[in-house]
Amino acid sequence: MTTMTVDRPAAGSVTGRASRPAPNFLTAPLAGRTWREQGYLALVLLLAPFAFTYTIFAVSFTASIAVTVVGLFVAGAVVLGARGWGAAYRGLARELLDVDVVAPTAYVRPRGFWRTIGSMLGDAAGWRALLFMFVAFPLSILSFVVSITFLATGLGGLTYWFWYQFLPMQLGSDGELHRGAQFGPSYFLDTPPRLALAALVGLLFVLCWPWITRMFTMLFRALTHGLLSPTRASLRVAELERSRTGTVDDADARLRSIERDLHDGTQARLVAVAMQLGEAREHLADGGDVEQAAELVDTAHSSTKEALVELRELARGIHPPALDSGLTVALETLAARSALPVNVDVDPAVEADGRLVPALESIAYFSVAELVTNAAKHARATGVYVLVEPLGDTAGSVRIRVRDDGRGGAAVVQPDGSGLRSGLAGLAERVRSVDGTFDLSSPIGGPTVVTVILPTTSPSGRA
Amino acid sequence: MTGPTSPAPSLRVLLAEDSAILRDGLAALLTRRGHAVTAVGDGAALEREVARLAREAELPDVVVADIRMPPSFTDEGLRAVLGLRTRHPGLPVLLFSQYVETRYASRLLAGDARGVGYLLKDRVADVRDFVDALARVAGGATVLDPEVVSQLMGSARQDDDLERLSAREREVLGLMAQGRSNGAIAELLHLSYGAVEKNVAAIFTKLDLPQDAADHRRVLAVLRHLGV
Repeated sequence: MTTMTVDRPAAGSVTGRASRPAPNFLTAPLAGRTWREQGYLALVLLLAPFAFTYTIFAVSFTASIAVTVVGLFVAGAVVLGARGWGAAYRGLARELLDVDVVAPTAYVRPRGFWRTIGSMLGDAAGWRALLFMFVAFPLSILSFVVSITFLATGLGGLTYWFWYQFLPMQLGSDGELHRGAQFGPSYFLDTPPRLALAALVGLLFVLCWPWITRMFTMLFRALTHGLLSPTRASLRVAELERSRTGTVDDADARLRSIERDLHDGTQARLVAVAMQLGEAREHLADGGDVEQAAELVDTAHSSTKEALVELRELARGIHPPALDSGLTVALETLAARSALPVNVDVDPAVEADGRLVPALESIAYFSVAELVTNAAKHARATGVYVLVEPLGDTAGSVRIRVRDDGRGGAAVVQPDGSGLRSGLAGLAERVRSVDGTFDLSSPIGGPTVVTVILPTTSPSGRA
Repeated sequence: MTGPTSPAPSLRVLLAEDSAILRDGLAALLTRRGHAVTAVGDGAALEREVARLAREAELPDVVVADIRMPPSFTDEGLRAVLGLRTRHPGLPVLLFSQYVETRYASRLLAGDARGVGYLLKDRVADVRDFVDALARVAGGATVLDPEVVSQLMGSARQDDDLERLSAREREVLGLMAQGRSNGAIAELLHLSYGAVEKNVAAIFTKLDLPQDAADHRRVLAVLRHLGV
């Protein structure tokens, strides 16, 4: 089964390590999860003084020496260094809290000394990690103290009946000697009902402890998500950079293929025509073989007609004229022209609110054209079914599903640098360039189903 | 003059061209003029064919090769031809291509420029000129496409020496660079033979080029001056 999905990484992706069933109230104190959370709080507390020192150092020390160039550089390095702390905290959260937060996009050093310093000092991921450490300091003290108090009190209470016997005897205000914890002038935990009460209170604390821990680690989870993950904007920038590169490559590959078609086809044919006409002219000028001249003109004539057909195909490949009348018409024309039986079903709702923008129409059309060609050429399909429909109620995007009954096994092959690439990779790039998604399912033996989703809402998806 | 009615001495032409339409058309055209044409489809086949003919001591009189051929569609033909010229010095070659690049011309002319031609494919439309150029290359002349020459002269425009030439002299220089003889230049520019000779002498003096009788040496001198 070959299933490749090309889509955007979910922003600040939160994927818990599977959704383990939450422990119930009674077993929670024994659950591994609870102990891992307590362990997290302990480790965070251990780290807290160092992290806090680093934060204070970052702000105060570097602020004082930043007046020198070297100081600026050190300050920048300290800010960038906070990313390392962020990574450590993310690792802890991943191991102990099952919170998998994607690392912020890697720091890229710009050209130029001053721009480098500027980008280091202004590194958002670094500053957010510093803020995390600053907030984590008091929070980790509070959460550890409170959670460990609940645990210790609970365990102490539960086992009180055993260890109270080793307490020293004390004189109460009632004049009697008591052994046990003292509350008030003469209230000692030394009678069996009181021992039972202590155990009960201990049990209550132990049962509450996991939820206290949970509450504090929730705060840390939220902090980790909020401050140690990439910002939505930085993810968007990274995605745009990637898709821009893809778009440029794709445009280049398309231009190359057009140039090659022109060079090998039309241009060569026209040279041949010119040659034949040139020769015919010489025959006629020299009063030579008129019959041969007529034959040459005849050949040139048919070559010209073939060149016209080729040019028309090429022009259609650049922009199909049928697209001027809308996507539905264009796809129906495509189906009619195809050698394979192609069933096109365009939901009228797609174009009910007006035409799609030309760029989207063009991408939709060429996606279908490419897939139909693939089905005929590679999949040995006997039929193709194309469905275009609005996705969801809001019509915020259009889903194009192309299914063939061929032998499957299609894959998105990434370009190998030779300038040639698989058509599917180019197609996926084109779809991504408008924030669409491209999904291919093509098990060996078929069928191949390609689903392309194009957003029509932003930016101004409708003409 | 060559033409359908007055066939030139028959040449054994080895043609390398990947486009079937052009290959067949060109082979037919040359065959009709009484030349013996062997055609191949890419650079590797061209080299194999020349090797085979060399073993039989029957090298072709001229090799005509497309520059851009499979498998890489870049400069296959040029590389094949340069290899052939190394192994068989003096083997006349005519390269043709759908666009000209002075860089290719430089590589082609870097060694011995005798019996070397470089033309745009469009030139086959003027059948007589094309066949004439082919015969000149086979005879050891250097033939360059006017397009190549104008590119060379364009890039050499900053050259102060060229500035000193009159408009007519620059025209003559261009034709010299294409490999035309004084007689051909006189005919093309509608000048007397003597007038052309005077222009050529003036050019050689102004550009400080060595006077030399042989046409291909003259071409080379001019091209060197243009920075090839």
